[in-house]
Amino acid sequence: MAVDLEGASNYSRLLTRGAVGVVLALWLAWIWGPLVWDFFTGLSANPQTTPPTLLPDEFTFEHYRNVVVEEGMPVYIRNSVVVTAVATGVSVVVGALAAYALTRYDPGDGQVSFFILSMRFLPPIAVAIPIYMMFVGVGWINTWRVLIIAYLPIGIPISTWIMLIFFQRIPMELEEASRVDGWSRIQTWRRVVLPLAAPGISSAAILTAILMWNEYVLALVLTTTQSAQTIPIYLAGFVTTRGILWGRMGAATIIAITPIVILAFLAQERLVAGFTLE
Amino acid sequence: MSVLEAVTDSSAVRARLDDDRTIAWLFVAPALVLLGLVAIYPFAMMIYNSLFDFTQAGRMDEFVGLANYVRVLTDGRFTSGAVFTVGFVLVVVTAEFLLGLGMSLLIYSEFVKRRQIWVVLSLPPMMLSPVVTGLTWRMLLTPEYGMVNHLLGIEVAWLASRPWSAVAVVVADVWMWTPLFVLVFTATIQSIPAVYYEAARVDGMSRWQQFKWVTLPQMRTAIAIVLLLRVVRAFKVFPKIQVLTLGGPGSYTESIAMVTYNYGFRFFDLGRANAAGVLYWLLMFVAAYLIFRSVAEDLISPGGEG
Repeated sequence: MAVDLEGASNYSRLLTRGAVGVVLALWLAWIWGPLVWDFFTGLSANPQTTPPTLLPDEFTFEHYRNVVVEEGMPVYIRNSVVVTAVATGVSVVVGALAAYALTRYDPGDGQVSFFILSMRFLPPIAVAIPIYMMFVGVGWINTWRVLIIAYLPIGIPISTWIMLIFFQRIPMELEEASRVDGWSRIQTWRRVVLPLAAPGISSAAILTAILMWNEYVLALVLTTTQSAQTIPIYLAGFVTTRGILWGRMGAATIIAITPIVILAFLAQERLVAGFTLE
Repeated sequence: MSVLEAVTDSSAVRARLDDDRTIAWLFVAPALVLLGLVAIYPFAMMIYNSLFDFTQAGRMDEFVGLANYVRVLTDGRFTSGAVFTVGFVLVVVTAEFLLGLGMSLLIYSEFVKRRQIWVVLSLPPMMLSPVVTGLTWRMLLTPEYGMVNHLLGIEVAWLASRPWSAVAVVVADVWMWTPLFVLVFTATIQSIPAVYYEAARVDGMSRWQQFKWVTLPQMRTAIAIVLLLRVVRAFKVFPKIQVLTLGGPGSYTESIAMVTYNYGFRFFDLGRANAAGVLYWLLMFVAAYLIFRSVAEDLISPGGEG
């Protein structure tokens, strides 16, 4: 009797295990299938076939060459790198100072942190339109600096928020002890606070950088020619102006997501920590 | 806070405290000044500008009071964009929540080994630009050459017919953002102490009861945070739809952000664009406030039974 029951439950466990395996396989196909499709489209000599095939019948690097040489993708990459780097740098430095002061000695009793966070409720288009109107007269449209300025209302709140949560966990007693030991504020900051805060700062920097690398609406309103346009604007152009060149689009897409994939791979732990705030 | 607790009548301590307060304000100042200049001032200008008419060339014309608001609210574009966006937010966030929760529980069930690898393998879509997401699904959903119709053996004009263009937009968003729910939920489930489940089993709880009385209460803070994040973000939807359907067919899948953009930069009517921007912000603020108020308790008392 007991053995029979055991056998039955083993059988149903096996069934459940099989079902779980099937669901996980479907999940993996759902997440990765579209990306694999992008990848092979970019390498296919005949990307449009009926019926479609996943693996190309003939491989080519022609699309990559066209995208880089003919369409000047490196210019967009340069613009994205400069704007992302500067705007992230400013956001993280400003955010780190604010988050540190807010966790150690909240000068506005929660009002300041709420104010900073509430900036996330501003729709990007409601930032883009007035900034466009402010700077169109002085000829700053289509420059790196106007994009950097426009990205701060996104970067400062997100980086402050992430660091606020991480900094709260740094025990204040360590700083008090080092002050008692006669270290100056600056020394305490450099030798005690900064090393402990570094993981939180890098998580904030990574998440802010990803947000800016991917940003579209502000760049759409504030840039009009290749000289200052970023990668997402270039990619969106595949649909609106040129019909769709599938192979080039696949190649450009893969180039655009590669830096993020590398970053995610190198700094996986910080990235996950930033998203889960753990 | 412990500095505050240490306050005595000693003037030296008081001087030290005033000193700390000043320095704290100095640290916060750059963030406040920058946000004032690049967010608050422009936004105030937008409210002011929304009371004026503008020429097609973008010059400020005459004061028109609330006329821009009346036009925006009665021309049908803004209201249909608002209805579509609210519906979109409700559908995608619900779908992502349920799918994300289901996958998280599956990955952390006793049948799965090497769970962290499954979590990491689930992440890529949420790190992409919404433009990349839109383009990718545009390729997959194109009727003749796309993989979806081929695999399902159907012939649906996904990007140009009702209601399929809305379904396409939802599918692309769910593909992109369910990973965030998986990431946050698995991190939370992982942190629940195993003794809670042992105690629950000793009490004779079924699997469902364990989920309801142990897992779910422990996840309340994470659920509150991720819902708030996602609702705010989903309200901003624009580039994904722009590259997938261009808002079509007609203006069927036009989000409120797209409508606002089009006023200003397709119809060159900055008056209506400003009024729409203000209304859009109001709508988002009210939605975020309502959610924040309903989850505030969970944010303050993590894991509490309330």
